[in-house]
Amino acid sequence: MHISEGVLSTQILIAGWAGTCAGVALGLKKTKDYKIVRTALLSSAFFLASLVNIRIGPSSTHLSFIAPMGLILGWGAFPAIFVALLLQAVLFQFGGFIVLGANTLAMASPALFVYLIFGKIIRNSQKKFNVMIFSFIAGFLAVILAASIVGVFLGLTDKNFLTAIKLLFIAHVPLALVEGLATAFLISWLKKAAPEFLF
Amino acid sequence: MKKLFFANLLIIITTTLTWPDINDGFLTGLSIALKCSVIYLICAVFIFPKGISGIYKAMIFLHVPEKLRILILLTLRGIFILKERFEAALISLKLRAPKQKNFAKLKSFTHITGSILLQAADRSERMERAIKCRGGFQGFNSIRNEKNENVIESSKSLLQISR
Repeated sequence: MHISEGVLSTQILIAGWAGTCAGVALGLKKTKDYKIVRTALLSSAFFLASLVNIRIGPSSTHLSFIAPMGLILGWGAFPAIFVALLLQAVLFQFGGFIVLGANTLAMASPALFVYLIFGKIIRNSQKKFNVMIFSFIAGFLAVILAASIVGVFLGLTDKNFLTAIKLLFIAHVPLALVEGLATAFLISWLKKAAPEFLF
Repeated sequence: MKKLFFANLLIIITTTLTWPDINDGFLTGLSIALKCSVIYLICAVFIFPKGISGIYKAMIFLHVPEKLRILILLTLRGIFILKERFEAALISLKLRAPKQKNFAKLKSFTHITGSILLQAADRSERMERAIKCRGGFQGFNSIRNEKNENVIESSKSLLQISR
């Protein structure tokens, strides 16, 4: 999901940083001071969980937990994802610094979208089946949206990326299914164990 | 460097195979790989050796909001705190169900993640109380220079309360 350095045009990089700065500023404003510690620790838990490889079928994958971050942290997901990607760039050299804005926008906007659309529905759902279905859709949609945003960035940089975008999109569909299932399991478990936990 | 080499190779192969014209694709891939390498080398020389504390100081210089700086430091600290718990949980999962595969494993993993999230939330409450006892975020970080007076002030007020 990380866009590599040097791929995007300057205009897209600037637009990405502008969007990220606005999102992070709004996210920090909406996150109260006393919730900063909670946001930070949950962000680190998600960061660690996303590093673990899970073997499914013949291949293995690592989950991104975009949707759970949105559903649990709400607006705080924007700064949390920014920090997680910054740490990934510093510690593991994934992504990069110049492209950090575009990468954050591509991953944090779906988290926020999912929170705004499904947050209330999942919180108010009483039946486990409904929670699982909505969480699955949220998880699936988050990954598809993130892939679409990356595709839009690449497409706006150069129209010749079209075949690569199609490949990227197709490659993300199975990942979205796994992510949807993981979100469904996680959110239904949290709903049962600590219903007040969801934002 | 190995990672960078493979990433660049992947970019060149992808652009060559997916571009309408193979030569154009190869050249585009090559230019992207070159840009990527230059940016990476600049970061490797100027940014990565500085570590998080260096980046933190640069952020103070650039007037990055304090909330964001604290969030970065606490997230980094949280990674080291929760890493051990995660490893222990994963080892226990392996020992309890060594033959677990596919979706059953995914389900167990998400439940482990859920329980660690709850533990993290509990721990964050305790950390927050400890930070408050130390005078709030003003006394949080020792490498911060610009608000030392506030730290001294808040320490004095805490001392007065304790007396």
